[in-house]
Amino acid sequence: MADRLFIDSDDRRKYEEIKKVIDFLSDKDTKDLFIFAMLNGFKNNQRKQLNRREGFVRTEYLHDQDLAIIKSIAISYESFDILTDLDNVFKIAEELAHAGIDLLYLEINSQSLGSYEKRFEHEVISKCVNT
Amino acid sequence: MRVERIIFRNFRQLRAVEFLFPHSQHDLHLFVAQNGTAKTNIINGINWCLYGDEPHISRGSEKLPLLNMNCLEEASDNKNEITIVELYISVDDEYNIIFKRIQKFIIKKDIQGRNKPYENGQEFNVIMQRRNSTPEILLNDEAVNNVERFIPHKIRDFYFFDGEKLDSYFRETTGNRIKETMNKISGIDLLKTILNRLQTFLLDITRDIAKANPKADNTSQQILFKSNLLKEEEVARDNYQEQIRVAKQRLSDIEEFLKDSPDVISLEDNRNQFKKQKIQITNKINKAVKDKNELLYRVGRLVLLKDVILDVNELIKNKKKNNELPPRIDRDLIEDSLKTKMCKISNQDLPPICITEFKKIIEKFELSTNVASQLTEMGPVLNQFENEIKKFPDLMKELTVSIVDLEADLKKSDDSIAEIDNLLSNYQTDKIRNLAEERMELEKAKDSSIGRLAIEVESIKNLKNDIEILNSKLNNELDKIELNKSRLAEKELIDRTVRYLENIIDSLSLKIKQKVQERTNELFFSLIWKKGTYNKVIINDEYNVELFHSSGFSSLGSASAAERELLALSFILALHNISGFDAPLFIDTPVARVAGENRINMGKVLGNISLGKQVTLLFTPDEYSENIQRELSHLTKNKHSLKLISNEHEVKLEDL
Repeated sequence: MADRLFIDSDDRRKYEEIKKVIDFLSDKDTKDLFIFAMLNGFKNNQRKQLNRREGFVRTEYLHDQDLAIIKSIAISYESFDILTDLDNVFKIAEELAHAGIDLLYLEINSQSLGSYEKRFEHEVISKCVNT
Repeated sequence: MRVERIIFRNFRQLRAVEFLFPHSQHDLHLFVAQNGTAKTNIINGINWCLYGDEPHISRGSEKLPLLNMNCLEEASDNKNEITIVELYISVDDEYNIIFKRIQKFIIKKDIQGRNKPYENGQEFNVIMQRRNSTPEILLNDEAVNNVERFIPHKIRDFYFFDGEKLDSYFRETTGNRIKETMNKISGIDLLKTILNRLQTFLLDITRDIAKANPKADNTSQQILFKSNLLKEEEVARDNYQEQIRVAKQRLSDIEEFLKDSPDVISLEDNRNQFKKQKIQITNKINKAVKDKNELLYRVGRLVLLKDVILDVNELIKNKKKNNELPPRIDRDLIEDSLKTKMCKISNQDLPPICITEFKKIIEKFELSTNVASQLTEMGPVLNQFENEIKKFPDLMKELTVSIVDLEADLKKSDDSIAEIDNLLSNYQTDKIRNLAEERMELEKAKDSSIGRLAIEVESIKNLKNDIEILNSKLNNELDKIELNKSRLAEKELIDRTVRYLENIIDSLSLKIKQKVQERTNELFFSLIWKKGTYNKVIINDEYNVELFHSSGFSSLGSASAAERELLALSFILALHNISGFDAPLFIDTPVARVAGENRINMGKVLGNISLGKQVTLLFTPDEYSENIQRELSHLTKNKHSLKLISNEHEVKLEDL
């Protein structure tokens, strides 16, 4: 099993940028930023293969909650059996994060109305109301 | 006594103005001028001419030179200029007196090239002409003494008034000051001076006689010591009374200034409170926003993953339900225990039944997979996620409402601060604050002086008592001394005279007080328009004036401004009447504090007073309203207005 999660080497500055711009990410560590980017990729159903891999998060730092999220997403793409191959689980996570960080980066640099936090809040509340 | 004429030259805005006061049936003289148009300067000019100061000077005029500004600006460098005020008065057709004060200036240019006046000596002289005799010119001390003879400085407050202050007259004036004034006006002061001299003389003789007897000498020394102490205490008492009077007067001026001003100190306290409140609210908002953001990050992302979490958790629950998930065990521990047939936890041999059970567990575990183990671990976490997602909307709502409420509170604080700032921006806040602080200090000082005055009064009473006892003791001791008859007779004569004079002063003071009281009552009740409201005016033992309501209660405090002004006028007129000190009345803004029907009534009263006394009224145009004109205008031909000319540094006199 891989001892770390990888990102595309081009994404590092994007992570730094979103940390600066999105208020509720400002005090978060790289692991949290990675998971947030991964969720954004998942939400938008976009995965992207990494071109130049670069270690980003040591897997030993992942908590049960983080692993539960990563594994649940992997299961939703494949099946329970994917858990026998954790490298594949992490690969899915990395591809989602790669696509997700791109989208996030685009969004915070777009001319969308309101702050990202407000739009995120609105999206989350809508999801609560509609389900 | 009448003022016949006043000539001003270069006195503030009165550059070259002459006022005449011709006598007619009603000795009434009216002047109308806007505020800041030298109205008060007429009264100040008279005061300056007589006493060298300006008691009614306005705050803005304090820094302006006495010399007329146009005169100053037009003067060339090193030129000499003068300010003159001449006051012509007549006394009982017996004397014509001219008081004349001259202030000399030398004009020099300052660094910026502006003219500045430098005082260069003052002259004061009096020209006095008794009927059928040649005029006498009095200079320096003689001139000052003559002012004191005809218009004593101490009682100027009894003929020059600021009408706006008449209604608070008895609040500011202490009983002792009224007593002092009565004594001054009625000449009792002179008797007191004689009494003082006789007492000193008596003391000297007594001490001289007492030297023949050591006991008497000792008592006499004690009397002298106590008498000196008494004098000191009396001076201290008078000082405290004066301090109280001055404090009251200053407090009244401050009240006057502050009456329409906001309470700056309280407002600034409130403003600081709002600012503190604002900081607290902002901190609370920041914390709530942080909590909300954290919730949004921690649970919000789970909400977006809600469907996956529910699905995976549901699948795990089904697997558990179908026994597809093994219990969480330590397989290595069990296998090791089986291999050694010894329990690795208790270190005891495994009984056969345990060996069987351990084997069953291993079999069951073999059935499970690595996947199942992971799912077992994920189950509780996903349950926790589900709970958090469920609670999320309520928690978000709670935090959002709390932020909205806090923001509303913040806006309220901001609005309150802005409101205070807006209110204060219209006022000279520094000045108001300083005055409010001065008022606080004065109140403290006044209360302290009142406390000390009470101690002094008590101390004076005790000293007088002691002196009386010592005198009686001394007389007994003196009886034992053989004296030559003439010395004894001399002492007895002075002694008797002193006692006689004391009795005369006491009884005269009492009589004058009673007469002033009677006359005040007569005047007040003949002039007042509400005949049934009040019952009587009393000057009490402390010489404080009290007005009693028909229901029997003392009611000066609840009387209207017009009624209090009328009472003050009645009292002053009574003082003039009884003392025989027939001084003119100059009243600045006589009806400023009175409106409506009471203004008409005051107009009538002032008209009536002018039948027997010279009355000069200085109105603002607002005061000189139609109804006041109806009451007063037909009573006199001497009506003028003062108007600013050129660059507002001068006024001119016009007939009304």
